[in-house]
Amino acid sequence: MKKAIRILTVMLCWMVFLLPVRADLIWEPYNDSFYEKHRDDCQLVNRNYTANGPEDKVIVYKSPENPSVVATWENGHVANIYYTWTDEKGIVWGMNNNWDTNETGWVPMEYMEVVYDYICFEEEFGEHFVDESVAIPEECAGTGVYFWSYPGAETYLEIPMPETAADMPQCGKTFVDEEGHKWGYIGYFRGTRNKWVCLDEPTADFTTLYPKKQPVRTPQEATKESSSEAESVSEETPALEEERITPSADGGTIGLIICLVLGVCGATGGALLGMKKKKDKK
Amino acid sequence: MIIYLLRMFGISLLLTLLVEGLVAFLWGLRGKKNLLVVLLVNVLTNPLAVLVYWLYQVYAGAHSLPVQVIIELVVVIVEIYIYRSFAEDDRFQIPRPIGLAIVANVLSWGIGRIL
Repeated sequence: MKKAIRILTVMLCWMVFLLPVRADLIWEPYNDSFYEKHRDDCQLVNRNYTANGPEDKVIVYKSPENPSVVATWENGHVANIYYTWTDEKGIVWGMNNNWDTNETGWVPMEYMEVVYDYICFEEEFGEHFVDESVAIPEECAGTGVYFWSYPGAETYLEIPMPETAADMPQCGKTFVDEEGHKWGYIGYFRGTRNKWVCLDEPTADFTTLYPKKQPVRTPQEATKESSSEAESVSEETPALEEERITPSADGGTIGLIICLVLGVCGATGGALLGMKKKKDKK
Repeated sequence: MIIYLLRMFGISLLLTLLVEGLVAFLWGLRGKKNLLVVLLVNVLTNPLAVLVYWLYQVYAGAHSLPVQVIIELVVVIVEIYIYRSFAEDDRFQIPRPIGLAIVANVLSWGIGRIL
């Protein structure tokens, strides 16, 4: 008996090492058959985008191959895109999850504009970052510190700091903004990811940090597009003349379904007529 | 996509048969013949209604409550016609066919929307 327990304990220890261990799980949809089929080709994105489609709307489809409509977003609607997938025509599709209905949907990324975030900030100002390890000031221990998406963001999260200075989060890189404030970047701290802290004034709000005006932040994608499409229509009216990007639905499948349904209806109608005729004869 | 569509049609039809079959039973329909009429009527109308609405939202790019209502109205009219046709025959007992068609479809549509 004791030997058996020892063997089982050793086996359990081995199993622990064999099991994949992840400190933070990456969310995956569990009821999206398209994602399950193309999982290896999907890219993790997890960023917010604003809808900007033709005719003032973006249509959310069941999948890049299924034109069933899941939802319709008016332009201006902000949605999180968790994964993207590129089809054979080079069209990039983004996956969104509706947390209320737990239903996923896919949109053409051509109609989505990224909401300025820490990635955009790095693309725009990355060359001014300094790689250095700096801790948040010790006097903040035991208090709440403001974590911003990026220097110049309008909203922040107030995160309580550890009681002891030794446990204070470390910033991996720093940046000095237009007002001369020094900021530190924190990749991860107690579940909060990719945030910036104003090291000079960790608890200052936006108007204190930027009393004159909000600093200008421009997504680099928008900069590249506007310079390369100088002769195109204005940004307020996306190309109305082009056909809307829709899933490449298999016409044969749709035709088959129509035939099946009509066949069933025909057979059922025949059965009903047969029952009626029988009674009429009698 | 085909599995998705078959599942969509299957679930819709099954739900409809359950709800309308129950309504028919509570309405007073008894016997295999009478309940068979209810079953066949719904197999005739439901998949077609689901198909028409699915094609609409695919090509229109949006869901539409008014379109759903119109399709349901057509379904009700067809079912009224069929139920009345069978009710006129002594061998089938389908009481108040107009009321049956309306109540059964309103309930099945309402439950479908909630789910």
